[in-house]
Amino acid sequence: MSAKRRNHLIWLGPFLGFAAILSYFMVFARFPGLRDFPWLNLPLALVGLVLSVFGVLRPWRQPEVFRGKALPIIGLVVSTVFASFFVYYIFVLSVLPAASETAVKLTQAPEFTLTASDGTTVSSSDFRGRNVALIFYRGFW
Amino acid sequence: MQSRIAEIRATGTEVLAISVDPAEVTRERLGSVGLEFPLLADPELQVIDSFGMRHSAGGMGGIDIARSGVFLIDGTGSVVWRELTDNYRVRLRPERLLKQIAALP
Repeated sequence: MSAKRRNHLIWLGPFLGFAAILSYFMVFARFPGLRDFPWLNLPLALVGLVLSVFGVLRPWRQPEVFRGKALPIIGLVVSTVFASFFVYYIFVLSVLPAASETAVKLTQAPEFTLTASDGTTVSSSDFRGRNVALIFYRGFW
Repeated sequence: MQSRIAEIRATGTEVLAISVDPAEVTRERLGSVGLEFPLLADPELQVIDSFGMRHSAGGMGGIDIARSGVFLIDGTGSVVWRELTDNYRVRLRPERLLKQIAALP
């Protein structure tokens, strides 16, 4: 008779999925190479998913070692939610609609006058004779 | 961008950033983050629209915001280069901008 063991894959799978998402936004999004395509975080989320699958299989394959079939299934569901959310965010949610014709074809920059965060007024005419890199960003809202 | 700002400035190029965030919000959120280029507020999206950069319902709660992108404008006001990303996670890297600036006549 063999000793019973705890099925650690139950929590390890969802943990990796959660860690993949959290560390992408908190840490790795700062590194362009790992942000543009999540070379680290996507595999991590998928490994979590695979571990959860093995977690479910264990009590079926080795019933004498691993008890409990319900918890691993819950773990797999959670892992699946994490991994699908991440894949959805990376490949669908963060995709922008096609750029407008105006943006694509613009040859002369329109004039503008706007307020800067320090309260000063900045106008395009201030930069005559100099190159300007005009960055549009999504903001913090 | 901030980390390479000195290099970009050294080429005689100014860096400006525009979003829908009101100036006060930007000031609040920015806190102690030291950015050496102005963050401009375009809450009515007038300038964002004039560049065709509106992303309808792109923001939290379905608000309209600017899509990510960069225009390089020369001293006469001509757009000499642009990078309009199709995914907001994928943004312009400073070295690409520096390369474009170096290629200007």
